[in-house]
Amino acid sequence: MTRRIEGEARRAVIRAQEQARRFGQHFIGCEHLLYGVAGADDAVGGILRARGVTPERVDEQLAALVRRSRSAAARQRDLDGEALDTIGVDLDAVRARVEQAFGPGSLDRAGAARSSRAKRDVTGHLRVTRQARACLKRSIRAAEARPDGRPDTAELALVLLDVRASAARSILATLGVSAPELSAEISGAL
Amino acid sequence: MESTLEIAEGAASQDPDVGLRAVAALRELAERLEVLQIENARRLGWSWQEIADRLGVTKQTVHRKHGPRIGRRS
Repeated sequence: MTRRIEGEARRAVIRAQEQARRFGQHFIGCEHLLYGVAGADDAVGGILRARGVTPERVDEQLAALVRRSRSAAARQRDLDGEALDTIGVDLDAVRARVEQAFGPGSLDRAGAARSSRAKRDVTGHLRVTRQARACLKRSIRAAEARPDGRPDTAELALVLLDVRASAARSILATLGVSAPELSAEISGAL
Repeated sequence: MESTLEIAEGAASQDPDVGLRAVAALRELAERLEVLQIENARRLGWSWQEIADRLGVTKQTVHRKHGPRIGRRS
């Protein structure tokens, strides 16, 4: 699919991938694509940055997203005794029995063994989330009307601005940017 | 000790935040018990097939998940 994306739009997708990797993420989402187009060396990138959607500011929001999901993962790693208690499972009792059988600290050791498996280096091709894939497909379709038929950063940006309930949209909202206004400006500049 | 009623309320919690956290915690707990039990079984010389039978999964599944860490029978 990405073979049909060339030029600055392709570089935007590559920047998105590099950014995901930098955060140790195994996927490319709309939020990474937004980072990618924000850094575009063309008119569309210029409009985004003039409106405050700069790579630096998107990067800050990406970091915040990662922090939030990491703290959820950490909560899981720590074994949430409080949550288990709500379904009538007494973690202290389970821990006591497990450690009796497998030794002191065995339940925590099993958790560490599991998380080291999850922390493999992020290499090779990253998975593209369903929503990001849909965005790329839509931008390719939108570009079919163009003479060259290749999506530009404009198509990609417009699709990202249009998708509701995406991480990209919530980043824009946090930055205080109106997606419809930004779309209108980009469409007007085409 | 919580009353039976209180436990039942927790288990049937209508608050997704409470309910989903409980599911995640229970899953993590089950995964850790699986790690400990499989390590132990392998130490005692159980085959991947025997382990998979007890867990109700295929041998491939259990080996793919735990094989790289636990390795061959010692």
